[in-house]
Amino acid sequence: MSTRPNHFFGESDDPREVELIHSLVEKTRQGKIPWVKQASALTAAISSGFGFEINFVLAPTLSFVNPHSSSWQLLTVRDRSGSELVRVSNPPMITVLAGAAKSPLVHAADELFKLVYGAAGDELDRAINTIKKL
Amino acid sequence: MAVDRLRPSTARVTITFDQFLGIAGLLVGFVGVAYAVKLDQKLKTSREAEKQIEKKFMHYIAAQEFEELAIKAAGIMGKIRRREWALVPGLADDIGPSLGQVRGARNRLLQSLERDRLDVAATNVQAFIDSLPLAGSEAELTEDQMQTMLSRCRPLVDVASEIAGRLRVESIQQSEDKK
Repeated sequence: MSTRPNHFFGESDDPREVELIHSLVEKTRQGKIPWVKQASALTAAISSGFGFEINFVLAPTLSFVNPHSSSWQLLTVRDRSGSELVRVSNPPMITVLAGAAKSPLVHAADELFKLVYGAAGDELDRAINTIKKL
Repeated sequence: MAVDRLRPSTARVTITFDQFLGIAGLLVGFVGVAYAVKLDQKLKTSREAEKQIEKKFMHYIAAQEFEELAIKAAGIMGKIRRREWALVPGLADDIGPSLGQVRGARNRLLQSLERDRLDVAATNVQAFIDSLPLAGSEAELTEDQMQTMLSRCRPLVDVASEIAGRLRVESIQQSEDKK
């Protein structure tokens, strides 16, 4: 389990954590991970093998920025017993604007989030088309 | 001889007083064991009932604590909206430790997503406290800055009230399941 926080000038990421997130990206692209969109989170449960639970907690949206845009604030991957395998915090925008580089782990999590969030949008499009065809 | 054959044979069993006491003791022993088993079952049932009540009570108290947390956070949001700045710093200082305390005490009752959402809520509350204006400079706050403050309190209101609702329903369900 990773207990290391993603500090501003943080230590280097465990490459296995990055690999795990990349694997999740790959399997999500293949449509093998069923993601569920909730009001303030995106979650997925993988029942095969060890069994994993993946949670993206969404960052609060600011109405004056863009109410429809969304970003994540925390990503966790846990095994069936509840042990935390990966915990990634998305650094606040201010630190990114200040020039702090995102770690490879945050980059990987970003990629996963964009993919999952985009897929949720695609499902909405499909729902609209289905209703239009009625 | 012929008369003896016609008479039904009766086997007489004679037991001594000691044997009688032994049999009586055995019977009393059986009754005692049966009674003990019955008492043990009753004890187990009462212990289970006690545990159930404890669990129900724990869920109820936890629900109340999360509800209070949500009310506190919503109270801060209300004060920001009404621009009642005098009380906000005190309430903000109070909510951080309260959140940590409730989260620590009720960690076992929380689902993994709820834990994550509480972590995020705690980060946002901290960011909110850091963004509070210094005394006297509240009037300079823009509408956007106030919206940002509100958005940092909202996750706590949402997650704390959701957890409170779930725990309350579960405490009721436990007692109904038993019926």
